Amino acid sequence: MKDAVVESVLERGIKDVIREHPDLGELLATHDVGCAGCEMGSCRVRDVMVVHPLADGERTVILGRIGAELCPGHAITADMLPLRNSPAAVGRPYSPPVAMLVDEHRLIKRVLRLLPTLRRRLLQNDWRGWGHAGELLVFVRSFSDAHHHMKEEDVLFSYVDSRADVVQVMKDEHEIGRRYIRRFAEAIEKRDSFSAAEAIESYRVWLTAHIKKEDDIVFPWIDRQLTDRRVGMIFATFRDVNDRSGDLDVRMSMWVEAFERDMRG
Amino acid sequence: MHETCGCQGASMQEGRQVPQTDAPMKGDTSSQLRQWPLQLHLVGPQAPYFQGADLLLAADCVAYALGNFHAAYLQGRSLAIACPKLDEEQDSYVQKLKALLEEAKINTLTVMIMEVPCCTGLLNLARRAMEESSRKVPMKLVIVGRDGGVRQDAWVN
Repeated sequence: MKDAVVESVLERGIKDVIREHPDLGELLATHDVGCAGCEMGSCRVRDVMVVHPLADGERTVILGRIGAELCPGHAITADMLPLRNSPAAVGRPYSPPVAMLVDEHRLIKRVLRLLPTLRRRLLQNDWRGWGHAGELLVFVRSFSDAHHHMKEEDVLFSYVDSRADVVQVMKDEHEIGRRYIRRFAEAIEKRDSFSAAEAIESYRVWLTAHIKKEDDIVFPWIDRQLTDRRVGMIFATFRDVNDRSGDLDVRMSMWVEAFERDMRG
Repeated sequence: MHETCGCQGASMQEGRQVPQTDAPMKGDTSSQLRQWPLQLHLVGPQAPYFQGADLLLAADCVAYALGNFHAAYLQGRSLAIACPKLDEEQDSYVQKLKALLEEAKINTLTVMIMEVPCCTGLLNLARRAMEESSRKVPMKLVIVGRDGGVRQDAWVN
């Protein structure tokens, strides 16, 4: 028999809860749950407790505090949550298809590390900046978005609980990135170095945080839900996508190496 | 011969203490086996139960050591068994596994071995087949202890 009061607390948005009870935001932060600083913040309390890789003891402490502050007299316990992280699953590396996405993140992060230099060149009207900006646009559109984000949205996310807010948050975040890139493309077209530099800095800050969120929280959460059967199916689909894209990954890796050389020069 | 070779795989070890009882074991003990044969020399990659299957490649001793082998690992999977220490003509195992990857187009490969060093040979055979195959699938390694506990359960590629 579910406790209606507890259920209503678990359904509340975490941002609202933190606004009313800032100490809970601080408590979450001490357990590496960064909801207080998250820009989206549309997750429900239930999702936050399930998605983050907390030890059972940590989850008990947090739920105890949430219960004490939001619904005194109604205990909230971990067995009320749809937790699927069996002891055997905890601590294992990413599943092979998710590891493919993490590898793609590594390539993207190499590019992100170079963006402050590109931004400086654009602001200094260095003639090399515009050429690199155009090439960057090709990388972002063809690899980061069309290839990588679409693998996440069209394949990986379709295999997990579609009701989970965290999936919608990730999709919404991808849209934020696409807006920054549209602004960047418009600025390139107008040769507006200030707007281009501003857009690329916003993109860098956003994508750095987004990748960290996926690597540390979302992907482990997804892996804990996937059956081996589904891991195999996702892996096969990703390989098909890679085969259809030809030598895109090789070309993009070569471009990143060249970009790194140019940014050092 | 193996009794004197000093390897852990053949060394005698007294088992852990298991409570003795006449009461029948509780829980679901029904078999999850859905095929025959099982031995890797005997199975045919063209068999319908291998097509697109999640393949469990288990060392012979595993099913005896692990109490919940059927419910926890065999359920939903097709099975092949082998002993990397005693079986002969192991190169043909590599070719058989390669055919399961390329022709039967298995979905995943789970290799279950005992913790004794010689059992790693089965993982090596699976790795060789995967390297030589034009088709790759996710591969998982499960290591079972001589006390029946699971030492490792993780993806390895």
